[in-house]
Amino acid sequence: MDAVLRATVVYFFLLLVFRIAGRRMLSETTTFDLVLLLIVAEATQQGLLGNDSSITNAFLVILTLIGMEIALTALKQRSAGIAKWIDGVPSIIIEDGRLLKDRMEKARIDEQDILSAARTGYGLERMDQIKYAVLERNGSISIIPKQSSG
Amino acid sequence: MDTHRTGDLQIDQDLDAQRHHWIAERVGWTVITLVILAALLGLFGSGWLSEASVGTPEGALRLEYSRFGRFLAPMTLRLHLGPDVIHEGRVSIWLNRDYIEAAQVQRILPPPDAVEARADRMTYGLRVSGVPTAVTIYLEPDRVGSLSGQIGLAGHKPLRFDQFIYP
Repeated sequence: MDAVLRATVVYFFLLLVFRIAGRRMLSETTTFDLVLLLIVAEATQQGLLGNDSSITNAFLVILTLIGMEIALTALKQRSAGIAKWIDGVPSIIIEDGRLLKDRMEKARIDEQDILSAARTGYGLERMDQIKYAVLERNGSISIIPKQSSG
Repeated sequence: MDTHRTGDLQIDQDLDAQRHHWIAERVGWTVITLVILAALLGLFGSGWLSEASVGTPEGALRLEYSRFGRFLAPMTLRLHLGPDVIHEGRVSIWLNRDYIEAAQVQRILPPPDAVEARADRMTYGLRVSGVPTAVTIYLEPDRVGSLSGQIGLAGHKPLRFDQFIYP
């Protein structure tokens, strides 16, 4: 019983902590962030399995985690409100060429992040080539370039 | 405002939900900071808030213990003995059974040379030299929640102490 309880508590705890950390945390991909993520995984595992190295314990934990994931996905399908709470909503940060500074500040994004996304994904050179920039639910920035005239 | 379209962009942007998210984020950061501070102060064991001691009025016996512990995490009890409690180089101390079973004694220093089990307590006989000295008991609690312990000299009233073990 405690395997299931532990796994459930850990699942929700991680969900909460990563939502609080913000969307950008999910999409950062420096080497350090990868290492940090691995360490978090290690710490989680210790708490989940405790002293119990049996495969039964391991299976119960895995089943509980996957089960919670399935249940939550089903819940998100049924209720848009819950989906918004768990996954977040996309957020426009550049509208028609205008930078929406207060949103960028709240989301902790600066112009360099946007320019970097513009270069990487779309080969754009300057800020004035961007029509729309959206902070997606998974933390990445998507760019709609301005239509070149002629 | 039509949440499905902003200008030329067909996007399901929900500004109210977004604002609530950002407020919730800030609340969350505050909570995280408070929890970390509390942990540093010892609220979850091993720290200033957690250190406690209890003793007999005459000072013959004093127990240092932690108010807070964690499941399966090592913990120590230190019992300081005044010289008056030692007779002919020996002292007998007892611990209540419920506590021992919940707290899983790993080691006692000095190792007892006599152990007597009774329904409600275990009595340990130890050889000590006649100076103020201390007995250290190493534990690993394997029960979560409140633990109530009693420790004392054989035949005397015990010192009582309470601990809380986090899961």
